[in-house]
Amino acid sequence: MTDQNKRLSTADASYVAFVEEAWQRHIRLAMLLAGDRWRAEELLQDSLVRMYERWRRLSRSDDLHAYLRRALVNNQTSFWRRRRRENLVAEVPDRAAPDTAPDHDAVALRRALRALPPKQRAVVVLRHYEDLPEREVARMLGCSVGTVKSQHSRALEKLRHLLHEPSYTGSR
Amino acid sequence: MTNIDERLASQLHALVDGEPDSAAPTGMLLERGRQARRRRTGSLVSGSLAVLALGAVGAATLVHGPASDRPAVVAEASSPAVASPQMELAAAVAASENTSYRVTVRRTARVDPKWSETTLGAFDPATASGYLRTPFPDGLSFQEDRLVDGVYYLGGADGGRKMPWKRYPGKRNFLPFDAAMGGALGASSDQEGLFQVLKKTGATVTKTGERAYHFSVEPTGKATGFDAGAPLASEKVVGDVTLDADNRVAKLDYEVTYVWKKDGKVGPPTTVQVTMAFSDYGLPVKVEPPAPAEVVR
Repeated sequence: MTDQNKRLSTADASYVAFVEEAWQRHIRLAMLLAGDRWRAEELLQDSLVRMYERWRRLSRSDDLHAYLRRALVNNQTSFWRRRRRENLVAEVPDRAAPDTAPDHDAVALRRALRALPPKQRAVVVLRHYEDLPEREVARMLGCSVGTVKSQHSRALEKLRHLLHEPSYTGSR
Repeated sequence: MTNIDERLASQLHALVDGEPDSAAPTGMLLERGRQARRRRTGSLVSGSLAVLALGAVGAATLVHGPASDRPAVVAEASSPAVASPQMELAAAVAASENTSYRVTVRRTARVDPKWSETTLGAFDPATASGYLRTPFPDGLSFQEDRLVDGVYYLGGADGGRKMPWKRYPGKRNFLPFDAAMGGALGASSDQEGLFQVLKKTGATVTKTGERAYHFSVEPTGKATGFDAGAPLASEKVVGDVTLDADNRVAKLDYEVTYVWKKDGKVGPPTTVQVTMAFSDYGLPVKVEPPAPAEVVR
């Protein structure tokens, strides 16, 4: 335990420990949901701050990471939050490693994801990056499995169009 | 899993798995969390950006006394030999705020992907009632704010799906015009007002025509509408106010530019162009509370 943690309450110390693990574990999910690293860090910070507000109750819960994942998805797809945040943050240019050409496919995919409405983007990321079943995605988004299926289908249709990928036919 | 799934999964992983790790900002998160907890136990604070207060609420704070003081403020504004441009502008804003009005707010972002949206609304400061409605480009989504005798409701639709109305605790006397401004309408002594912002931030107001003013301000701290934990390096608002023949605000045009910071480095600026047009002063504003509405705690 660091000297800083020694001065924290037990609850705060447990929160710090969770944050240090959760940050690395969920920042990439946040990037896919939010569209770029800046927004991802903001989304993850906001979600973790909300967890702090409820920490005393939450810290007795079984799966904090599942809770955080739901919070990331809900905060990103939150209608109200999105209207504020996406209006304000400039798009951070895609970074290329020095001495290497930009990965055009990655740039195209990143832009295509951002062109999806947040709920469709969440469905694609949860199904294909987190590999969650439709039932779990539906639970996280607070909708029916049927809605997840239709959002998924529309999202793949749009990605196919944006990426000129004839094979995204949404048959999953 | 089909080949399609594997390809998309592999592409998504390739997109982000190579991103470097970063240190969790635990100190900042603790601070923000503690502030958030303190706020939850306090009354609802406007969090409005001073710029909207500049446009619509602000000058109300010049009117600290009862209504009978207001004519004096307006009279002062009609004596150009005595009043500074700031006072004239503030008086005009106060005159605009003393009565109901309709408002159209158009916002345009100058970042990629560019977007713009228009909000239609109305407000009556006497009854703390009004509404704002913002349709979104997909033609199906919209956001609606309602204020009914000071009680604030938020509703709308996301895609074709209606969102449940939310009712917020406490009472307020403003509507959030625009996210960038954290905005507030109406007269309230709780708002950061135009005059206070001009004084505190050293803003400049110059008269550019018979009924036209130019202003420039760089709010800081709470006046930005963001909390202390937000990674905001700077905010600047530059704009113009045009009055109508009754010396009420007819139009407010400004650009707000944010510069964000991270790990000691500043990012590219974000600029939003906002135009507010005010009209129909004095006409009644009727707003009904939506039902049902879930209470936000």
